[in-house]
Amino acid sequence: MMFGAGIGIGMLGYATGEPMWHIGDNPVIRMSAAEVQAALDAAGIAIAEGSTAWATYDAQVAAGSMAAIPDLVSPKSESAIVSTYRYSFLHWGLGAWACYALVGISLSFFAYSRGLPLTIRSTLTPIFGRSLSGPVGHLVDITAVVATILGISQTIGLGLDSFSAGLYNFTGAEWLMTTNADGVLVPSTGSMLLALGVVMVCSTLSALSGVGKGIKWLSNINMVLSFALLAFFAVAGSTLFALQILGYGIFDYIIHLPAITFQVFPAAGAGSPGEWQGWWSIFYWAWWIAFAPFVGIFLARISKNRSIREFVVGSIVAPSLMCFLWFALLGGTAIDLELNGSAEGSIFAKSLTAQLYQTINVMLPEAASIISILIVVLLLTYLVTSADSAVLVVNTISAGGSQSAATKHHIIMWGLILTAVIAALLLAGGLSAIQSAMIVGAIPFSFMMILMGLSLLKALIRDDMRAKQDR
Amino acid sequence: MAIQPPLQELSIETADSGFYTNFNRVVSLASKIAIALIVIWAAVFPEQAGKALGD
Repeated sequence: MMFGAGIGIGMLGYATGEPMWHIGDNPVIRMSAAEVQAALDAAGIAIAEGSTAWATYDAQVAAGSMAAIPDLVSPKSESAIVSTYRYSFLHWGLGAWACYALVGISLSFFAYSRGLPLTIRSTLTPIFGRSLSGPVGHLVDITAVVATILGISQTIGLGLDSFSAGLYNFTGAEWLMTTNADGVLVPSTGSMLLALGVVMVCSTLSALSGVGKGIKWLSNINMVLSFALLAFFAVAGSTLFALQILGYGIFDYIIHLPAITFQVFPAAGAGSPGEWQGWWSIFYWAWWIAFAPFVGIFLARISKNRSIREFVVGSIVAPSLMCFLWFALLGGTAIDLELNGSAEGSIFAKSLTAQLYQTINVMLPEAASIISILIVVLLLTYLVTSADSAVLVVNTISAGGSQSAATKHHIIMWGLILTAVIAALLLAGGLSAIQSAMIVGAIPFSFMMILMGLSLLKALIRDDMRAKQDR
Repeated sequence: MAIQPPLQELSIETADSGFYTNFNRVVSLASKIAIALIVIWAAVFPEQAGKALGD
């Protein structure tokens, strides 16, 4: 159910595409590119028109007119695999789930141990006390609602993009796609708006079916379909290669975790690691934060009577490992197909969300349509459960933690508002407009999360002191 | 010095009647207004919004 509440869409959209993008471009590759450029400059070698620094360097080394630079990480090569997964796991690993777990643990602690309402403001009571009944508390909850709506808009926007790319893969309907400025085929705004209408009607009907009823039913379907897709990649994909990636990737990720978590590259313009970090890591930080009230409330609702230790293992370690497995199997298969020459650059040439479908086209062309249909159905169920859960969460926060206050009018109204915000932003600037709005929405809530961490720490320390005093 | 007991009750005012029965009116309305402003901005000034929020 946890993956059905938002994360599943991201995983389906990014599990293939993100490693494929990182193997072509990541901070380690950019640092190596800077070394290559410096060596070419030092040797007084100019880059020919239409060529690149990497191609010029390779030609010079092959001709023996330049010494090879040791330990270079070149794009779209085996040398880039480890750094590819280092950053993929950073974005989908412990850091992401820790954000959700912080909100989830805080909510569970204050709601179930203290008996406070299951809403965001309750988590700040050790700092602000009773003043949270008034305007301060209202502001906290409003911030959480706005972050939730913008966070789920980003997730649904991404899901619609994957959904349209999947429909195109098995129908071939030209109107579903358009060519972007880079000459890559991407889903058209019209197809995404149509998909949005379908998804929001289904999710509103699901939400009206009662708390948990619709979500539970759909979650069971998407759990079965998710495991079927994972099993398909385990059987027909590059499983041994993926398992190697998984092992090396996790080891490398753990070794580098402190460094990459706190590393902020300077914004040094085009081609710099800082530019890459702005495109990827900062976007993810904002996405985790904007999504934290939503996933946090969801985690809290399913975690009553759990200890903090159990919560950490169940909501940080286990889902991180699940994400790593998905990224290793799906992304690893795509990387293997490109590096061994089977795909002939066709996966690299696709848009981020279409790379999953192209991987299947190359893997098993005979069954590609059937698997694409399965993925589109899976995406639809993920989209519906995510939108459905978001509306329930927003109503819970607005009702001061009550899960039964929402009537069908409130559900329909939030469904319409969510549809309107996604449609308006898609029309104004496409997915990048939703992404920017989500980042802006996440900023105020990031301060709430800092306070939430301090608040939980204060409550736990004080509880401990009280226990000692009683003894 | 004794440590004060933790707060175990937090009242959140909710409406007794009307559309927002059992909802906090301020949170419900303010969050809807905030989102509505984004929608109106993007719908009425799509170019400006696209430029501000685009790549």
